[in-house]
This record gives sequence, structure tokens and C-alpha cells, in this order.
Amino acid sequence: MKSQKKIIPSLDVFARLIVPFLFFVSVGAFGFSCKKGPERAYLPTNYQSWARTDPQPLDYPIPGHEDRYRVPYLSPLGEEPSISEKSGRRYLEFKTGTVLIKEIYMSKQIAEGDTPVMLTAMVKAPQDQRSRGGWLWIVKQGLSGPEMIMESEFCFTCHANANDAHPYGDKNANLEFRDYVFFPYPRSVQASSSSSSTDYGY
Amino acid sequence: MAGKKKIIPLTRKVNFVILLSLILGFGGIIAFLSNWILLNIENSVRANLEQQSEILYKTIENFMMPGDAPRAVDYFGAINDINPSYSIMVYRADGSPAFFDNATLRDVNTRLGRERFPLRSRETDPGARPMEPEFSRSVAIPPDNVFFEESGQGRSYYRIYKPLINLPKCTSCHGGEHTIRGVVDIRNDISSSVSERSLALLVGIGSFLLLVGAISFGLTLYLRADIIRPVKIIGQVCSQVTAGDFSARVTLKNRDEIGDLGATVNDMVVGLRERFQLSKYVSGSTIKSLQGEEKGVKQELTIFFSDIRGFTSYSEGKAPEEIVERLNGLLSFQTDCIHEEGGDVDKYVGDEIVAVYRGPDAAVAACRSALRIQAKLGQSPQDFGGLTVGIGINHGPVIQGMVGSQKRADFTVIGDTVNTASRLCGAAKKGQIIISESVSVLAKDEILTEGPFRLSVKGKAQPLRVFILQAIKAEGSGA
Repeated sequence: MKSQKKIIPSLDVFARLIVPFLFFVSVGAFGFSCKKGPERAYLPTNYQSWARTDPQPLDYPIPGHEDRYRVPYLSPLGEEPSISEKSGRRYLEFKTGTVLIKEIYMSKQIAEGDTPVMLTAMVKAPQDQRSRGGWLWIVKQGLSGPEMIMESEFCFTCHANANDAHPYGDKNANLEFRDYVFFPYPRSVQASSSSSSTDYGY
Repeated sequence: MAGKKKIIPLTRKVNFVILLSLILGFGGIIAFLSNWILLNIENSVRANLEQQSEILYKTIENFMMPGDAPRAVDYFGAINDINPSYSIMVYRADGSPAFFDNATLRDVNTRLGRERFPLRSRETDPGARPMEPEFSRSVAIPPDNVFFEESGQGRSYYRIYKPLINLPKCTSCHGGEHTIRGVVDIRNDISSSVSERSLALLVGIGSFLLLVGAISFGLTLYLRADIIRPVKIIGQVCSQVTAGDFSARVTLKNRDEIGDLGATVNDMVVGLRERFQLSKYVSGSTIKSLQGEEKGVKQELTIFFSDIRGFTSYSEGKAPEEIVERLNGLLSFQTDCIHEEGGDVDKYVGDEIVAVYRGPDAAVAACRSALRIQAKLGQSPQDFGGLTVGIGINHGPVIQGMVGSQKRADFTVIGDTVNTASRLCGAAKKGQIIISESVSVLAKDEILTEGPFRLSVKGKAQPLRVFILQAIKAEGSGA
């Protein structure tokens, strides 16, 4: 019995070798395309040029930071939060993209060249699924460590107190919604709004 | 002889495939689903406990803020009394039980600068301490809820540690030097659920194994009845046919491919039987010619003639059945001797046999057949009713082909060589073998002869030079 000649030998080679190769290349390319790129940096390096919001030296112990010395900065975008009133309550809300950075020092005796041991930051990003109360809560070790987004409720739980009466600064006696920020206004705004009806006691 | 292959029963192979599919397929699916369900249950309980811990957290907060801490103590006690399988405990950040001594009360009164909260008249220690390392994880920075399963003294529990954060609004009483106030511990007894789960698992596994066993058993019975048994029947019939029993038939009730196979085997057996029967009545050359393998040609062959002597006188006074039986017995014996030496019976003409030998040893083979026949008839004449034969052998060119008409023909040999062999047979006395000169020349190295003799035969102008075959040289004895 004569053996049957292959009519299209090239088709057979194509099916056995090239098709599986193309398949795996496609899967690999798809997989790589789905891979997330490196996390973006949220905290700019020039934040120390921003306005500060601390009304007085923040060296008294508070939960979360305990007795570390704290120096907060507010990005220019945060200098004009929106202010509204609903059902007799004043609402202060920061714009998306606002950044608050708090430097943490071991003591308030800061020598020339000293750098903070930690940065704790809030970035207004209500669309981000990792946000709590509309903010991303970020911790960075020193100035060169990686930025870690806190996905637990820890920071948010304490800062939720900023929208109620609390023992700091003006103590939010009017129970304003301050968008989770204990000291919402920078010093420059305080100085220019001395006739404001709201005495923040700074 | 090649070694016999080890037989693996078909039932075993099919059962293995089916069982493997069941176990990996159904078993895998069931295991996955069971695990998924259990995981969902655990997640549901966990979510429930977390929700309860959140409620308790808010409860403590709402009791504490207006200074109703003692109510929080009463509240927990009331909850613990509802259901013994459900317990709540609050620990300080250092792991000591809260609400059982005056340590916190003294601290708060000191911060407030007055005896805001009366001290307990009796301090107790319930003895309970939190589990490690879960407690340390819950009070670490950042703190987090810790959910875990605990077992002890024959009981099983789901447990959650929820850290109580020292909020800014709490600092007026408790100070701001620390971040974690304590931990709420909620423990839920799930022993009955665990035992039910174990029982369900055992029942599930047992049921699955029973099901697999039942399916396997049923499958085995079915395979044996519908496939193995019919295949064995077909095999038995084939063995019977191999042994020569052409009456064997496959009888199956299967209405499938195996049934078709049985019918095909039956057709094959019928065909084989017909062919076998036919081969009795025609020579091998005729059969081969029908297959297209033998064609009419001129070739050098050895022709063998054997004729019974005194058959006429033998037949007198005997019954036809006895005559035919005796004749067939003698013809069968001669036929065996011819075939065993490689010859082919061309035809039977009454009591005469015409055989053909081919190949380089044709002449010697024909001589051997003749000597065996004469030796046996001489040694055991009573086996053949005293009948004897005379044999003539010649070698030369013959025409072999289909002789006859299209309606009836025979593949046979014709020619002078054939006629001469017949004449030699006719001249041979009882027990005698006359061979031609051509045969004696071809077989001279292996046979012993007497002669030559000059024999005048009909149709030949000149007498033939013939020999009387005595024996094969190696045997040294003849008829």
C-alpha cells in the first residue's frame, strides 16, 4: 500500500510549531500588559515651601503620634477649601489633589540638617478605592523611604474626630465638618482673615 | 517462542478510567465546592463578629463620653448572661482585664483632678488573659482586627480582637500618651457547628465513596454482560474454527457494533467452511489458480501416478459402502504421503491418483512418497484389505493450466510427460515403483534402483529406458 504524500507539508509544520508559539507569545504579552506599573509618588519633595497650618508648636502628646514633634504643611491647592452650610452645619471640603504633609521629629529641638524620622500625609483622592473619608492616608519613613498607603482604618478613625468636638486648637466647638483635618487653615489665611467670624483660637 | 503478553482485563481498564474520572472530576468539584462553602461560612461569621465588635466599640464610646463608664460594665455583663456560648471581654493594652479593678478609675480621677468616679469596693481578677500572639498583633501600630479560630477542652470558638483606639476626644479622661486604649474580645462558641461540619464531611465522603463503589459495580456488571461476554463468545468460536470445527456459530443478542462483529464472524466461518470443503475436491493448484496466483505455463514437473491392483476382484461380493470406505482409506493414505513430501494431488480418477511435484527436489520427493506407500502396504496389508498399488513416476516438461470449458474446468497437467508417467504406472506390478530415466538421473544421488530396463509402452515407437525404485539411499531398504 503506497504511503500517502502530504499535500501541504508546510501547513503541518505551521500547525505543530508556530501556532503554539504564537499562542504563548500572545498570553505573555497580555499578561505583561495587565501588569501594574510602579506606584506613583504622591508626596512632592518641595513641600517645605508650602504654608504651615500649625497654630502653635505641636509637641504635646496625642494618640497616634504620641509625644513626637509635628510640623504640618498644606499644599497651595488646599488653601482655598470650599465652604458651605447644610442643615445649620458648616462644611469645609478640600479640593481633590490637596496634600497635607506632617513631618514627625523625635523632639522639637531641630538642629541644622535634621530630617524628620517620618512623614504622615493626607492626599485628597475620593475616587481612589483605597481612600478613607475621601483621603489617601500615607506614611513615609524619613524623606527617602517608600510611600505606604494605609488601607486600615487607623488614621481615619482618629481624624474622624476632627469633625466633632476635640481637645485641640479651637476644639471645633461649632462642630463643623472639617474634612478630617484638625487644623484646616494655613497661617497665611489666618492672618488675612482676622475679621472672620470664626475664631480658630490659633 | 515469544513470551505471552500480560493480559489486562478490559473491565479493569474501563473501571480505572471511569473511577479516575469520577474521583478527579466529581471529587474535585465536590471538594472545591465544599471548601468554598466552608470559606464563605467562615467569612460570614467573621464579618458578623466584626460587625458586632464595631457595635460594641461604638457602645463603649457612647457610654464613655458622657461619663457613663459603669453602664458599659453592666452592659457587657448583661450580654454575657444572654447566651453562654457568646462572651465579651475587654482588655487593657497591657493585657489585663478591664472593668474588674480600680486602676483606670484612679487614673481618670487623677487627670480630672477630682473623684469623678467612685472606686469599686472590691477588686477582682477574672483570671482571663488574652491569647498570644493574636493580642500583640491587635495592639501593634497600626492596630488591626484579628480574627482567629480557637480550640480547647473539646470546644471550638471563633474569636475576634478589636483594638480600641484612644481617640482625641478620649484624651481628656485617659490622656494622650498612648494610642491603644484596649481590646474588645468577642468569643463565639462554634463547637456544634464544627461537629456538624465534621459529620457532614464524613457523610459526604462516605456517600461519595458509596456512590463511586456502586457506579463501579454497576459498570462492571454492565461491561461483563454487554461487552466482555460477547467478546469471549466470539473468541471461543474463533478458537473452535481454528481447531477445525466449522459448525461453531456466534449467537448474540447485541444490537450494536459487537453484534455486527458476531454476524461478520459467522459469515467468515461459513466462507471458511465452504473453502475448506472445496479444497477437498480440487487440487491446490486449482485453488491457487482461482486466486490468480497460478497461471497456465509450460514447466518442468515430476508426475506421479498410482493405481490400485486387483481392485476389480476385490470389489466382487462386497457391499458398495465397504468398497468405497476401503478405497477412500487407501486413497487418503496415499494422499497424505504425497502431501507430506510436498506433492499436490492433481486429481483422482477412480482408484488412480495423479500427483504433481515441483521444485529442485521434486523427483526425490516423489520417490519418497512412492516408497512410503509401498512400504506401508507391504508391512500392513490387512489395514488396506490386502489391496496393493503400482506406481509410475516421470519427470519432464508439462503444460499446466485450466483445461475444460468456461462452465466446467480443472487446473491440471497435460503432455507427453504425463502420458509416459501413466504408462509407467500401468506397467508397474503390485508393490512396484517404475521410474523413468529422467527421474533416476535427477535423484541418482539419493535413490537405489534396479535396472535399467527397456519397456515398450503404447504410443512410443522406441522402448523406454526405465528403472525399478528400490529405496532411498539413507534408509537402505525398499519395498
